Amino acid sequence: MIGIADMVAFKLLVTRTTARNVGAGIAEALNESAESLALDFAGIQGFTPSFFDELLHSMGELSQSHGRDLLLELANPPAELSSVHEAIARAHGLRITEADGGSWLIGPP
Amino acid sequence: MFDILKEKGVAIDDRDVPGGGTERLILPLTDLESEYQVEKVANDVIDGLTGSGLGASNIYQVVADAFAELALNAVQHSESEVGAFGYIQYRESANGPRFICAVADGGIGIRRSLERNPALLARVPYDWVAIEVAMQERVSGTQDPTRGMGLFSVVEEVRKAQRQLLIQSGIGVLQIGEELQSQARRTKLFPGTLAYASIPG
Repeated sequence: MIGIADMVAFKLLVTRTTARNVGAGIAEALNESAESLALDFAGIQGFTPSFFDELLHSMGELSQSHGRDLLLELANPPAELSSVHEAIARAHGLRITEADGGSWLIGPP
Repeated sequence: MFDILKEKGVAIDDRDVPGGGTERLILPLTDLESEYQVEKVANDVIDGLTGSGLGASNIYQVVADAFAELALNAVQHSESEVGAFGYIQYRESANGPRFICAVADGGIGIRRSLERNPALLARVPYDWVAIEVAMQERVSGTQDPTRGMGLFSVVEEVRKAQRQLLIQSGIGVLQIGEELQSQARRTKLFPGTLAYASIPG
């Protein structure tokens, strides 16, 4: 599980630049053989749709560099799953669902 | 407005002007210069709201998100020579408490911004049409297919009961009212773009 709060200066994540920085931090922390990726948003109060959009873009690039689709889990998401998040995932060719524990699971449809 | 001017040292005689009384500035009129500053301001807003005890705490995130997305649009796309400005206010009214988020710039406007994308050129003949198009999913003047979610997300949030959004750009204006009706029309010129969201507290 990769903690996001340690990578950022703010509790509300707003910009695409911040998302790209988070993406770079994840790439550094990710094991080469990993097939799934768990991100822990504990300590984060929220993120904007723009941040989430760019984060999925960065994860897409990471999947490409690994040569496989990475299944993404967002633990302790700081927002309620909404139609906007679903639309953003859809635009990246992904499907987003909410697990029983509240985590978001993101992967191919 | 008088309070802002007074804070800046301007002498104001407001003895015959009815006082706001039930209004609180969450974010005073602020010059929005960069994306980083928008992110910092949005975080300050969340911290300020959390300590304020105003309204319902579960709405703070909605307020901060709406302001941040509107402010990012102004900073990223307006090309405004006079910059962009925004404020957030909490207001008690006859219809109950509301958070007001407003962002304005003196830039090229939504229609000219969308015209930067050749694929959109034929779809935005008028300012009021351009505002409607800009509210749709994945519409952006950047030609980047992964962009164009910011204003769409604000509209999706506003399309919930009792919320309002007004966007004026050039000679176009679009309003989404409390009854969720949406109306775009021609209006008097605003030399830039003005966005105003009203969210029940």
